[in-house]
Amino acid sequence: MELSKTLSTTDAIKSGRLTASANLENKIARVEKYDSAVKAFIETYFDDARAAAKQVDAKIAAGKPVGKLAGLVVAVKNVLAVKDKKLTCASKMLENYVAPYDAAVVEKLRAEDAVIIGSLNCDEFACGSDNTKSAFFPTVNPVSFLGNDGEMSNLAASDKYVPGGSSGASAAAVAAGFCDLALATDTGGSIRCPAAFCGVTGFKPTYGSVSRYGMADMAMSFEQIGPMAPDAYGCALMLSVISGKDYRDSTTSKTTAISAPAPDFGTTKNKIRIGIPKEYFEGANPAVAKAVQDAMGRFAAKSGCELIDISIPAVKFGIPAYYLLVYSEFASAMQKYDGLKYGAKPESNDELVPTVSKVRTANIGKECKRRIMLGTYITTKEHKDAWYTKALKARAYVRAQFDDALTKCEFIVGPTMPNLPWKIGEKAADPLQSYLEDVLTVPANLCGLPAGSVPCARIGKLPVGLQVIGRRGADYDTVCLMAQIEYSLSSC
Amino acid sequence: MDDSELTVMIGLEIHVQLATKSKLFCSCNTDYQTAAGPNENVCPTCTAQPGTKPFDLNAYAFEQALKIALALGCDKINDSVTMQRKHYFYPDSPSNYQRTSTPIAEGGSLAGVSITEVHIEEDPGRYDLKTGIVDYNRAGVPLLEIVTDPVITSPDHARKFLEELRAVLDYLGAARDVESGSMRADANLSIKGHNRVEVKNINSFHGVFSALTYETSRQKNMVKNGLEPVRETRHFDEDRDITLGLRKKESVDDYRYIPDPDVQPIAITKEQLKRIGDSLPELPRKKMERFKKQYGASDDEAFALCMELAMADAFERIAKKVDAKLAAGFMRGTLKKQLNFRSWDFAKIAPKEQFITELLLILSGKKVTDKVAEKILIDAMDNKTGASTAEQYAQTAGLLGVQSSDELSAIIEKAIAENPKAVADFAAGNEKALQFIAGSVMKLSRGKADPAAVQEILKKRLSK
Amino acid sequence: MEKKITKADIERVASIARLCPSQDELDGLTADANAILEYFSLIDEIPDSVEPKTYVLSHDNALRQDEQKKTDPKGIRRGFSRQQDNYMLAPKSF
Repeated sequence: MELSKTLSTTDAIKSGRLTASANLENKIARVEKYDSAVKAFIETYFDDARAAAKQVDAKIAAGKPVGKLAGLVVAVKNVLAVKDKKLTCASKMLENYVAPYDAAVVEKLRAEDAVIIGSLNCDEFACGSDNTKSAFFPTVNPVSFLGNDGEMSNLAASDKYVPGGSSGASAAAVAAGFCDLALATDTGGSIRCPAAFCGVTGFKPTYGSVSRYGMADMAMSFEQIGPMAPDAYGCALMLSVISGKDYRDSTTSKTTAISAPAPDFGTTKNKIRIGIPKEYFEGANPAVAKAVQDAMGRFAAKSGCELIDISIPAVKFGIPAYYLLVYSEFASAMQKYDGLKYGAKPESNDELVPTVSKVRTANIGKECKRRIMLGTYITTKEHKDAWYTKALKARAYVRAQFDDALTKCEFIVGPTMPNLPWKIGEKAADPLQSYLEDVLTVPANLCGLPAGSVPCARIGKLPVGLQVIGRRGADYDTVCLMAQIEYSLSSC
Repeated sequence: MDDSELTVMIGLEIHVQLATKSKLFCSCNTDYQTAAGPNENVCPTCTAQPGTKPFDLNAYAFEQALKIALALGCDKINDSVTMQRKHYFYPDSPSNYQRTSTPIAEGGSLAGVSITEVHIEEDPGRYDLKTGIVDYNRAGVPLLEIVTDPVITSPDHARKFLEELRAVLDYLGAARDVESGSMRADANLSIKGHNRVEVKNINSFHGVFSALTYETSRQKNMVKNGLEPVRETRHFDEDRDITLGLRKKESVDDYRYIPDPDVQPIAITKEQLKRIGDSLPELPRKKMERFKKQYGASDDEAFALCMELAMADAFERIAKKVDAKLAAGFMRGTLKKQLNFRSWDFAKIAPKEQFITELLLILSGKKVTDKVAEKILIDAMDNKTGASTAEQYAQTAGLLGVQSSDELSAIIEKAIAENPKAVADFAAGNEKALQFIAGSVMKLSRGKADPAAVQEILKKRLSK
Repeated sequence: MEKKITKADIERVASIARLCPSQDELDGLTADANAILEYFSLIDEIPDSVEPKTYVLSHDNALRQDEQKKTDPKGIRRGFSRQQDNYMLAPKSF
């Protein structure tokens, strides 16, 4: 039984059993067959990808050394700059904007011989939890199309589920086999949520581990770029490529690159203590809670790790603390969009102020505008103390409790999402209802902790994700534990 | 109510560009004055392309800022400095917020003006309101902002403060060439007991004086007529030397400052401060005091010599070879006059130090008169002297040599003969007529006559 | 929550943020703002004595050498909505 799809693929390519070109063509064939239903891609780069794959094959044939990601097909969330390609952020504001530079992580992908296949849909400017807020089209969770054969044979399915968000299409692309790996971003759960909903593995590194140079901002002190893959090994491999100091993102100044998975990856030598916070289970859908509990019970029995019941009451402050600060940072980040330097062009030849107002209003989506307004409101002089400053205190408060909990255990485990994937359009009406879905994922962003999601069960055809949160800086160990849990679950 | 009852209170916020090769948060060239064209020295970061971040902070810029803070005598240096985002929509700002730091240092004073604080920030690009054109070459250049207490009492006081500030900056070499538009200021001005008005868009030293002169006058007139100046921000129009009220909605009242999450706080250590403090040069005020003691320079002479480090250093080297008083007098008088006339810094001067030394030697040796020395200096600054030494040039131009007493007597007789009316006027009691004849003597001698000797001889001769 | 947010508050904020919602949208935004902030006022439970934490990481001094690097500006200029002789053209303000 294949323990890691990613490892198998990368082995096959490096050993010459599978050419990069053939690997790419497999993916392209699947895109052409299924993406009209899934709608993951904003833009495909098939020509560029074929050229890149050919180069990798030439290097391998010539016996030259190749990079860590040699021949692996990677798709990239369209908030990450790819030089001379459209960087839309799924927004009308940037619909035709062509990035003049590569994001730091994209530079690294190229340096390691990855084959970049295209850009992926998401919620507009990463504002959302289900990928329905893209200005272009919603992406559909591939599980919606699963037939009894476990393949996407039911493309006419009427029940279309959300893939999660904001990196919904990234998870969908991995789940649908459009790529070996995807690079996405996580501000409040935007990697982990879709990973859970689509039944793949995703990881958000410790804050400051991966350079955000080239990542369109949503909330600068919360977000990280991270991998999505069929398995934890794939995540670990990608992490070792993208992590490390970059003078172009000063929040990485003291970080060290995360090691590539060692031969003993997926095994731990020491006895580990895993905290099970009751707040993570109390508010969750009972079926989801039970699925995760059962999975951890089985894992503990096999691995001999110790499960410790803990309580983190501050979890209830997570959503307010998160959103208030996100609004503030997002409003600031969005100031740059004035229709003058790039992006949507102003309609008429008005005076300065109305020109800018009209182009912003016409081209920024509803949720984004809501966040900009709230962020502006709570940072005005009159309201700053009551909201912005208070939210900073709330953040400190939540962080202190999580740090304290992580002195009693090395990891915290619970469900990734409180609910199962809902249908597209179900959560359109009430923004607050959408926000509350993030309750279990936002703490890791508030605290800067590494966190990932592995698939642990299916309820009907809907996947359930299990979340692992580690100590700050313990990224390798966290992904390692994720792999262990994966292996233990797959051999049941 | 008269003028003397109206106390003027002026505060300045001076923006000085720091002398760095690259911008504060990116590696673009800062020399926008010599850029190949508009929007040439730009990169994704300084044009706020989506996804870009500020690079690690320019270490040299921060050092220069600390240097200036210490040189201004700021005694309270903060342990840590945070960048803030100051939000306002305007085409010259690529991200529609400016990165500006919390105070680096507080306290300090210069020319009797106390300093509130200094901090660093990014320069915006350039936007021309009239044409709408925008150039981001300047966007991101490091600025130091110096904020004074509102204790400046007049436009003239402001000018003296700025002169001394310019000297301090010149000594440190921490700021870009101050003449080339790299210093800007905002001012606030009020008549004591009345509303405060901000004035923006002052882009030169001279502009400060003009703007404050106009604004002082405007506010005083209003107050004298029983009107209250509106509390507002006014725009300085450089072409017309007046201030204009802006439309209300163009003034921003709330910048919604938040700490910039993308820039880590900067810690300042005692070791760093000591190292920088120890490396400070002797500053203008101290040097002036020393010149007075060491060289017997007068207040005026010391001030003129010390306003530019290159000049002060040159003076000290010259004073090793020629009489210090002579050198001080000549440099403060004749030389400074020519520099001012041409709007030049000493550092740009055409004649080299060696030339000046020689000129002073032949002057002190009485081989040329003061007037001839001035002429030689002017010719040198007009690039007419080529590679000649001062003496060679004077020789070639026939300017060498002060009149001998025989030659002088002959010239004086000639002048008297040529000006009978003046002679008669003098005899009749018109003292000024003597100067007329003296002028004639100087002309005939082609300036080589010693003016003092001419006066003496003429007086004796005509009083017979 | 202390005070309800009024439509006028939202209008003012929209203006500061350079947005011009329609009257209907203003109504919706006002309702949303009140509902959301009402829920978020939960954070009032947190004691005021807690120190606000602004930065996630504790390290200071990410500094770099003062070196120049040239970037090709063409890719940046091609984004300008309007341009003239390589200047970006914005609306006039005079």
